[in-house]
Amino acid sequence: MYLGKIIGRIEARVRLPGLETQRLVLLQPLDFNQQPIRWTILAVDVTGASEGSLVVYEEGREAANPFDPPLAVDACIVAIVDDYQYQA
Amino acid sequence: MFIAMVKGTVTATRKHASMTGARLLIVQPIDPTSGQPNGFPQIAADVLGAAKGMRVLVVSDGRGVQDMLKTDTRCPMRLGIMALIDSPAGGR
Amino acid sequence: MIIAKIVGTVVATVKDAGFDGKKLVLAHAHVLKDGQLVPGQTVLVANDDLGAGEGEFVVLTQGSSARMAPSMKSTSTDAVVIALIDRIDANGQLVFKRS
Repeated sequence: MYLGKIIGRIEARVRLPGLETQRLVLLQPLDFNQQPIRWTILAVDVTGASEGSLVVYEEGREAANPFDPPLAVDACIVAIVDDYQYQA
Repeated sequence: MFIAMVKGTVTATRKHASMTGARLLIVQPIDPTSGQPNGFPQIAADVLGAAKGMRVLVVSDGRGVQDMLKTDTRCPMRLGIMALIDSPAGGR
Repeated sequence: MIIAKIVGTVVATVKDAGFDGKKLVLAHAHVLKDGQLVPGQTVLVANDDLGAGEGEFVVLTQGSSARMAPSMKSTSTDAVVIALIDRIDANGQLVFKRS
């Protein structure tokens, strides 16, 4: 899992079946000094996080797991960060 | 699987229900021969009590993490700490 | 997922049976940089069941998750269009709106 920040959202009326109610957010991956890394990605969210939130997200097939049946998603916000401690 | 150094912890009250009970640790993947950092730190689930500065064995497969946490298949975590390493990096 | 712009289609007669009747598109990855939507480095081939047209921005899922799409169960794909983008907002600013 990775650290990221919600920086925006996507509106899309035409979606694959199953995705109708999912919120699609724009995520900026961060390192643990909260500096941007990699590229922006899109993710679904199972936590109800809001824009600006610091979140933990998972990528890959595991990101589809919370949904039954699994959805065709490869990134999902799975936790909202309260706090973290990190020393490089 | 890869070897990583524990660099910190993450606290999250609001999270997917399947993640309850797992500690979330920040782990820095390291090259097993040189001990040098290898790529960005990531967040892994822990039930073994790994602590900052420890070298750990991390599995990168959600099925393994589900078995470790005894959760159902809805658990979305891919990284799990499977062992605390005794020997120094490189097995020297 | 990533934002991608449809830049073309791929046609192939000889193919794995799982790809029969499946539309393939060329999708150019885009990222948000300094508040602007800009082209990324990769152009990839993806399955599309939503009728994405050239020039359209879409949401693209990659990897084994792509096969979780209901219509891709028997298609050995690793990239699929899951939504057609109407609007993108970032940092409180409108970044893209379908015309």
